[in-house]
Formats: sequence, structure tokens, C-alpha cells
Amino acid sequence: MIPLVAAAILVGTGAAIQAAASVEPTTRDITIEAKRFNYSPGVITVNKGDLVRLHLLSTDVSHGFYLDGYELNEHLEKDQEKVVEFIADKPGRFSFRCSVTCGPFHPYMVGWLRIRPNYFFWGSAGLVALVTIGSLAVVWGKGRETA
Amino acid sequence: MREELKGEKILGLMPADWRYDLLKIPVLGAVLRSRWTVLIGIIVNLFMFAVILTAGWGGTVIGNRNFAIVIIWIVWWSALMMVMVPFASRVWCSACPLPAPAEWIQRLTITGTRGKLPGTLGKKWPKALRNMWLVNFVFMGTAIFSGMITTRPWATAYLLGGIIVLSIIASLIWEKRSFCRYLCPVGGFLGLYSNFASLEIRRSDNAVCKDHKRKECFLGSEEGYGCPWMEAPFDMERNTYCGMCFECLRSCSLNNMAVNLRPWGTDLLVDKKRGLDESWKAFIMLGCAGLYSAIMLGPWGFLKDAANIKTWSSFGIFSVLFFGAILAGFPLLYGAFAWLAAKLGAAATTSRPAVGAHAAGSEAAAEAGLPSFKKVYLDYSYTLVPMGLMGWIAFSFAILFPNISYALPVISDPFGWGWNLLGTADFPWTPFLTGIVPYLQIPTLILGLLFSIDFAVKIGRKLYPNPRAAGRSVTPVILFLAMVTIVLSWLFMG
Repeated sequence: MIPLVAAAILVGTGAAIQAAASVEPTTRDITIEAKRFNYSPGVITVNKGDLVRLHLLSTDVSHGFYLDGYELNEHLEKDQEKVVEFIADKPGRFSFRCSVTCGPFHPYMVGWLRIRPNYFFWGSAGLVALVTIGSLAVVWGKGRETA
Repeated sequence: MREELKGEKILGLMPADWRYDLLKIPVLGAVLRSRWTVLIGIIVNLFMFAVILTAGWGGTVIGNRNFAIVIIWIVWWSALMMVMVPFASRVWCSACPLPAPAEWIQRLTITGTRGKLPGTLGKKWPKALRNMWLVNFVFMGTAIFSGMITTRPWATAYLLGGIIVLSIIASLIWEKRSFCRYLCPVGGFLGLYSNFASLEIRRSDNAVCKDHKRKECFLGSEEGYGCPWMEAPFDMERNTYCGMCFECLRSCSLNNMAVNLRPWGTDLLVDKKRGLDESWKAFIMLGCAGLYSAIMLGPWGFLKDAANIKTWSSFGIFSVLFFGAILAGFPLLYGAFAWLAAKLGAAATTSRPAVGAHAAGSEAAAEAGLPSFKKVYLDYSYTLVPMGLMGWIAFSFAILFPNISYALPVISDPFGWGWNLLGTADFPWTPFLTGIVPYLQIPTLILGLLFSIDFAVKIGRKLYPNPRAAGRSVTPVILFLAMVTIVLSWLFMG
């Protein structure tokens, strides 16, 4: 029973990732508004291979936009739109954060860019499931031996 | 060495009763026994904290340009969680400068071993409060303002200054380190998580302590004070309240104290002195790791605005939800899994009446040889300690790597007054390897899960000697641990 559940989880996860990976790349124009101390929208989701064109606009004070993993860094002056373009060739979830001190909560001004398929997260979830199932198999197996 | 550790292996690899006494290394032995070692640490930190308080009250209001914020909440916090607690237990407490003035006032000496300020009351701490409950509430009262405290230099300075003043007041009323043990907001979680540490101070030989009537480690001798933390080092089994001050190494005339390296987490298998106060500390810390990750690393503006007290009404709602989720919601959710663990454990015992006895209550359960629900709830809650600590380490990666470059300007210009002491004042913000942070966080969480499951299985075997019952009982706990890991993983990279 337990090996079957483990196999089902692995097959299910693999199929979901495969389905997400097979989506055709496209161009994504996304406007992000930076305002103390968050970005709107805070979460952006694209697919691997998409051409992402970000229209960045600060609406209160000077902000920054730094994208982890892609090392993009832009300085945003108030009310002046900046356009940043890149190919989302690395899947996963990446934080973007303010790179210009904008006030007390500046270090926590963060947003998320999800580039599907998020292999690493789903792989980690699968690993957690395997550790869990493996542990249960061991403890239940020991119980059966002594029964 | 407690009998319960014999034959156990941590993660199936490390014998739980393995110990190596660092005092066997002559140089290290001399260093740890010297009163100057701790004193030098305190003096260095006292200087650092004097700069921190000055920066907090008189420096720039820009947090990431202020020594107080950068050194405390980026450097110190990360070092505490990632290095000191897992590898050296409460070693921070030995060098913590905050209660040092209080202790010196109490002792009327800095380097000597005798003296007591006339007029200090030296009262015993109230018996009803000899636990972590007060610390839990003090911590939560502080934690709710963490958005302010970690970003406003003045708030950090008031917190640290408040701790110094309170510790001095407490030292005039209560004996020894009552403040550190029962009031310090940092001490509580350091105590709980130090049970996971790979370092301990313990007696070397049980028989020597048993035959030694003077109990110098507890009462003191010419060479050292009796344990300032009011522990009985000759009988100590857990790190919770050991402040790693090494005083017992000096006071023991028989040299029967050891500073042991050990496998991680062995104190979590010690049944003695477990309590619901510590369970709640585990819920609080794990809950805070999740909520802080959502607030400080997440994309939700409304959470940031509330934590930043943009409006008092949003902060009020946030406070209710914060307290409710951590103090009630999370313990109740865990309780549902613990209840299932107790039910399954009882059901897997052979006799039908035993199952009925469990349903009838703790007395009937005890008569049937089953642990009560409270015992199951309490014991399994210690499995949250490795996961909580690893959750905090994972969180700290995400604070440290993007923000550590702020440390370079502030060491040159600690107050933001335009100084350039080391020539690094103009070093720009430079995120450090932020792309690899998730690849450090997820293995950390998985390691925490492995440790937590391992301790859950071991605790289950102690609760239910019947392996079948132990296996059934631990199942919901393992599922709960897996669920928490998935939630944290999602927050970090989902």
C-alpha cells in the first residue's frame, strides 16, 4: 500500500510538472507599481521561456527593483516608468526587492516572481512526501514484525 | 549519562550517549575555566552594545544605515540562530552584556568571587512563576512589535535599554540570574532550542557527585559562585536553564564537570522536567518563524502595513490574529493531531478495555497502562524543536544574504553622522548570492524534518513500549511535521 502511495505521488507530481513545462512561451507585459512598502501586484506568475516585459512605476518616493537569481537592478524615480525585459529562462520562485532605501520597512519590501514549472518546490514537496512515507513504512514495518 | 539515551542512535547514525569532553584539550580547559574568558566576552559585547544604544538613540533614523539595526537584527540574530544555538547552546548568555551590570552590582565585584551589595533583597523567585510562561508572554508582547523593533533604531535601543534596566531592578529584588531565567524574552527560546545543541555542560562521573557532600557547583566555593542560574549542575540533564557561564567548572574542587560535544538533540529525549510552558514556547517559536516569513519575506502588503502600524485599527486586527494564531490556533491544530496519536496508540494496544479506558480519561488510561492525552500532547510537542530551529535558520538565510552588505557601511559610520572610519562607508548595497538562498533553505528544512521525525519515533517508543502502538501513535505526528515543512517550504520558495 505504502509503495503504491509513494509511486502515485511521484507520478502525479511528475505529470503536473510536465504539463506545466509543455506550455508555449509567450510575451508578458506586466505593470508593477512600487509604493511604500510593497509592490502591486506582489506576485507575478509566468512560464519558463516567456519574454517578460516589466513596466515599473514608483508612485510615492524613489524605489528600486532587484530581481534575485536574475540580478536585474533598476532605480525607479517617482512617476517615471522604467521598462525591463528579460527571458524567464530559469524556473522557480524568485524574490524581487527594493534596492533603494525608501523608509523604515524598506528591507521587507519584497514581491515574488514565479516561473513555472517550479521544479524545485515540487521536487522538495515530493522529497518531504517520500521522507514521510519512508518513515511511516519503517515504523509500521517494525510494528508488524513484532505483532 | 541517563539510561534512556543508551542504545539510541540519532538519525540512525550517531549514538545518543556519545560524548567528548572538551576539557581534555589542555588549552581549551584552561581557557574555559578562566574567569577572564567570559569577562573579556562581556566587555567586548558591552562596548558593542554601548555603540548600539548610542546609535539607537542618537544615530540616523534610517534603519539599514544604523549600526543598531544592522548589527542586532542582521548580524547578531543570524549568528545566534545559525551558529551559536545549534553548536554552542546558550553560549551567548555567558557573554551577554545586558545583565552584566546587574550581576556586578549584585556581587559588588567584577572579577572576584565574593561580595553582595548590602540592601539587595536576594529573594527567591515566586514558585508559581518558576517556568517559561512569563517569558512566553514577555516574548509575545515584544514579538508583536517586531516590525517596529527591527526597523527603527530607537525601538531597538528602548528594547535593549529596557532589558538592562529591568535586569538591574530584578537583581536588586531577586537572587542571582532570576531575570535571565524567568523574564528575558531572548532567554526563553534560547533555553528551549539549546536542548538541540551539540554542546552541554554536565557532571563527568555520577559517583563522584553522589559522594561529594559539599555540592560546590550549586552552593559555591572559594574558586567560584554557586550556579548563577540556580541549576544543580551535579544533577543537570538538560540545557534549558544552563547559561554556559562555566562557573561550575571553577567552583567544583574535584574537577568533575565536563564540557561535552554530543550528538544534536539528545536533551529532547529526556523526560524529566518537560512542561506545557515549554510546549507553548515551541508553538510560539515555530509559529513566529512562519508568520515572520510571511510578513518580512512575503509579498502581502496588507501584512507589512499592519506590522508596520500604518493604522492602529489594522495593527489591532493584526495583533488579535497574531496572538490567536500562535497562542491558540497552532496549539489546537497540533492538539488535533496529538489527540489522534493518543487514540491510535490506544487502539493498537491489544485489549479493548484499554481503548475504552483512554476515552474515559487520564486516570483510567493510566490504570490500563496507557499515557494520558496530556502526556502524549506534551511529549510529542518537543519534536517541534528541531523543526522550529531549522525554520529559523532558513528564515535567517533570507535575511542575512540580501542584507549583510549593509554591515560594511555601518562599521565605518555607525551612527550615520558622515564618518568613514574604515573607508567602507560608501559601500553600496550588494545582495550576496540571493539566487542560492532557496537551495540552502530547503535542505535545512528537510534536515529539520528528519530530526523531528527521528525524535517523534523515539518519543513514541517511550510512550508506547508496544512497537505496533508506537508506530500507529506516531503516524499523525509525522504527518503534522510533514505538513508544517510543506507550509514553510511554500513560504520560502513555493
